[in-house]
Amino acid sequence: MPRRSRAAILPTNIALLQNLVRRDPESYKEEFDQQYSHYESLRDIFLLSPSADEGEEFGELIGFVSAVCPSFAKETATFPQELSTIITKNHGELSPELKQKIVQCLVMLRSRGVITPEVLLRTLFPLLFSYSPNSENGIGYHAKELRRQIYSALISLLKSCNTGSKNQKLNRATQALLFNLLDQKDGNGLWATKLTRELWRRGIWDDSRTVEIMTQACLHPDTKVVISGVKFFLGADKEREEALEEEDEEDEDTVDANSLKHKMKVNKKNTRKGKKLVAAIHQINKKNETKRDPSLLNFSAIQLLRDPQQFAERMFETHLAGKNSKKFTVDQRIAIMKLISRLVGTHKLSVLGLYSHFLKYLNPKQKNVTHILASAAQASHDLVPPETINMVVRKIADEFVTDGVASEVAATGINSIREILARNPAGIDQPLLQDLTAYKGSKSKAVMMASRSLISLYREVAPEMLAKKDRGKIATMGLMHSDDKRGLPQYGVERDVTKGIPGLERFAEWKKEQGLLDKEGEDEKAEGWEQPSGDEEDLGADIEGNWVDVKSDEDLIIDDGNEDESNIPKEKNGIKKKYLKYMVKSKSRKKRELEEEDSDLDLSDDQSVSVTDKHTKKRQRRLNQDMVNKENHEKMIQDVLSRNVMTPADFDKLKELNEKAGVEKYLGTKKVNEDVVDSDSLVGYVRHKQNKEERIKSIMGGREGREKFGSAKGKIDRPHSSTNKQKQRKKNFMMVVHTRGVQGKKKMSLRDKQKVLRAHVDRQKKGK
Amino acid sequence: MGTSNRHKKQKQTDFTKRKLRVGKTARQKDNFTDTSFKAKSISLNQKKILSPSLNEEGALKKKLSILRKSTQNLNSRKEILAELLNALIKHYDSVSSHMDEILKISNILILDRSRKIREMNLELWKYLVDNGKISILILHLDTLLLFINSGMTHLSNGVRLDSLKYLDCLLSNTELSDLIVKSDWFKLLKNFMILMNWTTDNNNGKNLVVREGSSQLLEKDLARDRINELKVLEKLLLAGCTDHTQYNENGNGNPHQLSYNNIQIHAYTKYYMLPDKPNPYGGLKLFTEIKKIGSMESGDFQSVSTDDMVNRIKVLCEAFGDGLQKGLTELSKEENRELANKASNLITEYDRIRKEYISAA
Repeated sequence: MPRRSRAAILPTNIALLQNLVRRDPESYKEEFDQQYSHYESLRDIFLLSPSADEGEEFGELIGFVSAVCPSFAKETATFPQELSTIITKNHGELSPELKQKIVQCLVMLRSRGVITPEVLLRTLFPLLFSYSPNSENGIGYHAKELRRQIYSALISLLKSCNTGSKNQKLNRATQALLFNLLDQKDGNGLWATKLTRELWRRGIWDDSRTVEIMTQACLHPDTKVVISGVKFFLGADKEREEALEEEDEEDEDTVDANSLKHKMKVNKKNTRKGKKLVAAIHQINKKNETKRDPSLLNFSAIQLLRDPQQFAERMFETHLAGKNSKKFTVDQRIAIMKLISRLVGTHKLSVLGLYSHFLKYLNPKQKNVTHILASAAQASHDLVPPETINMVVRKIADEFVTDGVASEVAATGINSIREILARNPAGIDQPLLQDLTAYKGSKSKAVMMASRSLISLYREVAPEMLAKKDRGKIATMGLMHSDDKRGLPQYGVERDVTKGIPGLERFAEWKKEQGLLDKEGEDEKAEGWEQPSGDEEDLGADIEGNWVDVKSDEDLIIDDGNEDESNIPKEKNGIKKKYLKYMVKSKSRKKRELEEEDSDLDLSDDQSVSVTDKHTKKRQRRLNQDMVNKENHEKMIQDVLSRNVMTPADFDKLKELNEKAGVEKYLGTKKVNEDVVDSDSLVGYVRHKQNKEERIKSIMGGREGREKFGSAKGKIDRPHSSTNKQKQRKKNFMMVVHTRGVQGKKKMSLRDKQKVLRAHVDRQKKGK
Repeated sequence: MGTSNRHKKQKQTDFTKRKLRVGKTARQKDNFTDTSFKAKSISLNQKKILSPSLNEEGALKKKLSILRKSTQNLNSRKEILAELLNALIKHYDSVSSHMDEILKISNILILDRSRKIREMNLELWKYLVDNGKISILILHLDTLLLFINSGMTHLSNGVRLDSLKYLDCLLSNTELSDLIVKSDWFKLLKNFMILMNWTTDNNNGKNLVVREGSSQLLEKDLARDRINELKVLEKLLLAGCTDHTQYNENGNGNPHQLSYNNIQIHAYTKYYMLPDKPNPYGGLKLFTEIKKIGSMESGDFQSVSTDDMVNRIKVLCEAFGDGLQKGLTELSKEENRELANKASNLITEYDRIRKEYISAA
């Protein structure tokens, strides 16, 4: 009887029994019944007096029952409920091992699908903070381990429930619990932030409700909770990116599909192997598809805020304004300032109290002042009244950029002023700006560089405000041609307005050159060619001069496509060539602000009436031509946009074309108010004297790869016998004793001995 | 400083290094001391704590804590238990104040791994029951039964068998047995069924799993175990299904009734007095956190209060009747004479109870 022999081993070992029962639950029903009954009696004993001693066997049995639970669903219907009751009601009295075991079993039951995630969540969540020092019955009874276990269990629960499709029901339930936790105004809120942050970092939660939890945390009365909320907004996105990158790196280890394919080509011997490889490739491809779902967008937490204005205002009022800031340390205050200014900068909010609050901290002796400067820069944008900005700038200039301060301080000051003004150029008056630019001749390199960067900023933004010699060639030229005049930066006038996609006309041209535009649809071909001709008719009607302007690049296309039409404007092309050249040149400079130019041109158009006729005519022609050009552009852009959908490849091409045309340079330097100001970069160039280690290091670095120029002593490459020196060293002492060299030492005079000794000591000191 | 060859050699020996070789014993150190000795018997000193008498407060506590832990030295535990038993028998009064703690430990010892300890513990119980020190047992009856139940389903065979001995010991007293069948009737029967491997499932196709082949039952020890089990079961059934009150009235009558004969006492007085059994409202399950909600077949019976005999018989016949009968008939066919007789006796007993139940219904 094979079964009986196995049964003979049974009774002593519950793990073995568990294995047997799981394999064949039907025939081991009796054993299970016995153990379940035993569990029940032990449970009753335990409930009678939950002593710490009797836990071991009970824990073992709990493990056994929960392992075989799915096989006996009917008998163990109440088992999970009992477990969760035991741990919620008696967690104070349970021994740590038993608690651990029960939590483990509950998690296991969840993963087996015996209990729902919600039940597990509702059981574990209250335990998470029931031992924390904040709670009333704070018994530190191995609480840390338990908390860690529960925390990781919760995280993995949410992770496993959210892989594939998101389990919104569970997420909602969890978030509701977290909200409730934050509503109680005690330190337990920290768990809410901790959990949320971790889940955000892993990309499991990424919606606005999650961010809402953190805003609640930021407005919490408890200092620790506030700071952890603030830190979330300041650093969580970076963390998340890092985590995702790490994941990607891990994934790279998987088999490369291409190499597999190659292998298949080379080694293909039989169909079975081939099929296997095909299956493997299929799997890999599937994996790659799921790896980075393009539909998942990573919005930064700050972007997902529901009401940034109110949030920023309340943050400022509850934590910084008045005496409220006293409960925070300086570093914490700086973190809060950073967050508020980040919000203000990103969403262009107006929290006017913030700027005067900065003033209090802006002096060189303040600890971590670069962070405060950075957040002052972050908080400025073009919707802040220039007077307010001016106040900050003046304070910085007074405190940092004066005669009595160190060069680093001055450089920091100028750099941060530059950062502020890049965001709101109207925030400084001319004399102060010119005072600051006068530092370009400073002996300190850092100050000089900072000042120069300020100059180059204003060359772009408002050259008029600079002293004449600082304006530079291009800006001066631009000023001389008054149509380029932008005027002083004004409050309320938006400068950087982009319409459409910058550089799209270039893309359209390129498309035409390639002939791609036509290929896309044969039916549309006729319409596509009709449109330009229609334009020409319109132009003829509108404008007095009967010349028709066609761009130089455009006629190229016409040559390619349709020769008949190109014949007509050909004569006139010659006349306009001069202007066209000029236009192309000036346009590449101006392309950045096409729209604004438009309005400026209108202005200058009005002015030009009062000037002499000849001049007027010339200019008007030029302007007309400009306008026509522009209209053509717009037509083309519309054409491109209306006819086809831009693919990612198209955008790549667009970028490439922009780079070719040199527009990217402008786009790149454009300050976006969402960019983070790096506080370290504000200090600027710092040169400190090298210490010896660094010097030696650089010397050694210089010697690398120059071995053949060094001494060859003791470095014989080829195989060789022992050298004379080695032989001399090994020579038998008795043979050497009687040589003159040795005998002579005894007979040396005292003076000579002294000399030798001195030389020896010196050599030792040198280390040779 | 010797210059001679001999001196040099002598000196040399001190500085040469001895090589260790595989398979050879290492040379003994110069300062090696031989500590071996011969003796007929060796007795090691027992732990000091054993010496002070039980009367001291701290000593008893310490001893009990040693007794409780199965990791402690087995010999010292045995000794402590023996001492305890001795003290109990010789001067009960001095120990009686600590009876509470002692019983708590004694509970745990039901499940102890050592057979000797279990036996000694059983002696302690027997002493209490035989000498009529029942009140303390009644007080702890719930806990005692819990542990006995737990023992009946224990993994190890020895514990299971011994737990029946404990049950037997408790059942031997009528007052106790009455309380036992009232409070734990269902649980005990269920555990018995599990213990005997008799299924309660009627609809199950394979209805019986044989514990041992009948050839094995010819062995004396195993058969004796079975007989003991049957004896306890019979005792339990009789205790549960026969009317003691009737017997009492026929015989001596109620002693309480007699003593107060000359005083007129209101008929309902006893309802306002302290109850004479532990946990009188236990059946209501007011304070248990874990309640059975399940709708298992036998679950209906589990919630039934087994306070009165009619209910008990009902539970016995309806929930366990079939399994009991089948199991017993199976045993009555065994070749072992005594066992078969015992089983058939029990069958007749059960049949009588059943007939009464059916006729009453």
